[in-house]
Amino acid sequence: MDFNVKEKYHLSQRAEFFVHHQQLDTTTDRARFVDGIFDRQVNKSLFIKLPKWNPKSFKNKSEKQKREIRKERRQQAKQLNYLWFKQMLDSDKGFIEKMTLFWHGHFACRTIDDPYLTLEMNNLLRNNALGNFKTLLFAVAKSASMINYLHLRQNKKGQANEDFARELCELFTLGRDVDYTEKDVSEIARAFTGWRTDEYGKHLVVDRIHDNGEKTIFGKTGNFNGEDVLNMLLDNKHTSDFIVTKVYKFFVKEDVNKEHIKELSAVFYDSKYDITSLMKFLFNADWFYESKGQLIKGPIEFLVGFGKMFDLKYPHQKAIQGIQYYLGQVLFDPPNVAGCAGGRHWIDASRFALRLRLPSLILNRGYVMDELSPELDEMLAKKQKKQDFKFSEPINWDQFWKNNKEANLFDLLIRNENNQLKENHKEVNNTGVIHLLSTPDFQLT
Amino acid sequence: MDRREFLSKTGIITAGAILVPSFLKANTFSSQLNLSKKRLVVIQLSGGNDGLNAVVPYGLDEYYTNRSVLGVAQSELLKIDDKFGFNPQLSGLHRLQQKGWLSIINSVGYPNPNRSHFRSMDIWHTASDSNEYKQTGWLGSYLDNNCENAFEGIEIGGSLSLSMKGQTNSGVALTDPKAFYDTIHSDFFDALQHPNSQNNELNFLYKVLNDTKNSAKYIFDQYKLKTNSTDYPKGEFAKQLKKIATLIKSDIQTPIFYTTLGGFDTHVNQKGTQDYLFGQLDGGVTAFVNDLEKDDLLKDTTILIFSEFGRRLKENASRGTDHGAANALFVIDTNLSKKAHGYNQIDLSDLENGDPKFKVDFRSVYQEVLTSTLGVNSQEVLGNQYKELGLF
Repeated sequence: MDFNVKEKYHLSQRAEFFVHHQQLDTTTDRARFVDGIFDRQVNKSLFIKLPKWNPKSFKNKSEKQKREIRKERRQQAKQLNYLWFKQMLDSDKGFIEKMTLFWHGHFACRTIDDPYLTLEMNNLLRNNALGNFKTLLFAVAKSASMINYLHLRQNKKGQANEDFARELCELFTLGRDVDYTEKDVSEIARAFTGWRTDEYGKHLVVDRIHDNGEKTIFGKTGNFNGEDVLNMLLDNKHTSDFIVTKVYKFFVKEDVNKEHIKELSAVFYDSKYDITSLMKFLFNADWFYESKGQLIKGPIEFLVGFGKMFDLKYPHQKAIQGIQYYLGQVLFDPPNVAGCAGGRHWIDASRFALRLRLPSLILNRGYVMDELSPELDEMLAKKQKKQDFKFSEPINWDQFWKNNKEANLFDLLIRNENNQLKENHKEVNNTGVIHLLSTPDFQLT
Repeated sequence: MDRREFLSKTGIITAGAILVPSFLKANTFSSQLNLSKKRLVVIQLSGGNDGLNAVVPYGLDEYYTNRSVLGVAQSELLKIDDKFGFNPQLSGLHRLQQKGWLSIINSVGYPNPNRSHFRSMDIWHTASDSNEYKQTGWLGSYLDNNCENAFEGIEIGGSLSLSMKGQTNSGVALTDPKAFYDTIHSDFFDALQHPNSQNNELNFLYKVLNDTKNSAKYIFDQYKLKTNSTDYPKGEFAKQLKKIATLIKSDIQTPIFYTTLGGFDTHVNQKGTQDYLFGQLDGGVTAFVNDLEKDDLLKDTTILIFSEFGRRLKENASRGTDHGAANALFVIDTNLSKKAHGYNQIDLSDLENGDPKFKVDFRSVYQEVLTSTLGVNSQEVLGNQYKELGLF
């Protein structure tokens, strides 16, 4: 089956943020093109040098020293935000990082204050991003990040804390109010009592506070533990439905087609939750290509896609984090455990104005004001002065034209058929490119 | 008659009229709009304000037992009654209270309190239960049901709060009307034509584009109408309130304004920080209230001042306080009922995890302002009915 260039643009921009025209695989075979994307992904763990984790020495520090350590950790976590963002720009990692971003939204966990947790969670998401969902779910449930975040530490025999149990059902597997009751939540919480990590972050079950009694979960009675519950959840086909629906909304469109979900879920469940099988099926489905231009880019997708287009280095960590904040998506800082709501939720008048203006600011070597940064509160309290900062280095336009010399620029940059806009941009120069990038149309992929 | 009803009765909402920019509609009919409605100004204190040191329960022994370092001495307080007194930094609020224009509602919170800033703020923003995740804010739901333009909810600040985000209609966040106008004002954006596409998402974005352009222009035009020469104290917060006052004086058709004062997360050396922030708050709000009163606009205004949670009763070892739960909240309005002054009590002998228990659900307060200030059916916005407080 002939795979045309517009379909290649569609797939590569959805799967890998953006790929230059000259770098596209020249095959006209769709399945081979799809395989090529999977084959060239390089899994590189996020890494920064951190002091060796020593919980005992932290405990013995004075309040003042602890504050300084915490401050330093916040800085390190910010550095990780920057490193991950930069890694998304790499041409051999686009798809694996996009999948990691998807899981980052699904298993939303706020780790912005702690580089150790940030590294743990982000790397386990990446290592399993195209692997098996069962392995991923088990790893997340046993991670220090999630155990901290959803209060499993406080979940003890006789004093259950239901936070994790509830979100496990509602947000991670079945979906809200699907196949579980309040009673199930309470009983599931009991099954997870004693789940902890040791002081080095390794998972363990503390017998002393684990509830060994009989529990009735999903209509079955037995002495279930946490792992039993995870297996029961995975046995339920609604878990598969729920995950593929989220994948669909992230990679295809918000307006869900039930038939497509059925197809995806069958593949996912029958493959025993193999993520690669699911994604290959999706990218080979005809209907995937009919969805072009119907998905509103998330802020990170917008920034990374744009960055790859012009090989931007985004040299200033503070600038890129400021922009993430203004646009409403800061890596490692989801609004809550439900993650960011996508689609039209990304758009309000203020953010929209900034999105339309941003490409021209960057491509014209503009400056972005720092007056809206996450540090605003802190700055106000300290009565510090606002400051401008530079956003980007000069744009290498020659490189851009070389990378896309055989492309029709409208087709490359704009995913929907807006005839009026197309008519006005049959042949474009630098200014024309800036114009195309400053349209509502460019907000879609 | 509300705006939507008015527009539909006069046949403005018809297929043919969709091309009329919505701000023109609002402008054309401005005299008929908002007839019986007032406006709401929300002031968010971010970080968890220590309400116990704002409205000090000096008559309760537990206060001084638990606050041996941070407790404010009785002699310094601005007395409210035989048990409570305002922090001396809040003299403006105290004057408003004495006039009967400020209601202190104490022990405001919600069941199963969450002590994370982010989560608790979400709960306040979305008016949800503590185990419920909503993607739209309570004011956003109001905007969804009653408004059509972004300018109907203006937040002075860098990023739109979840409170102000609706499903189909959200407010707009801006630091400065001119800067916002400049962002979206260009011949290129003006020339972009609605494609009337088959693609709903594209149509949606073009609709937002029009709304953004029109709202930015409308807000800036209104802002330029009058110069506001009233003196406000120094600082960013007072400046934000001055911008809001300037807009209100222009007769702008905006029922909701929103602004934030941050930095209240006082785990360490609370006194210095809190004194400074209270000074900002009190100075700003006092100037704002006087400014509106001068032009007889205060009578149509309700001001709501809240924080995501209070602080723990017992101070910590760093001359600070840790995250708590229920808290004091302020409502400023010249038409408060007698009943509105009966909610300042707090019980410090009955604690939950070291925090005073909540007595008033924050959604009861929302319900009051939705019904009385904004004149809408609160159940449509909040989804539930809460206990009536009878503030107005």
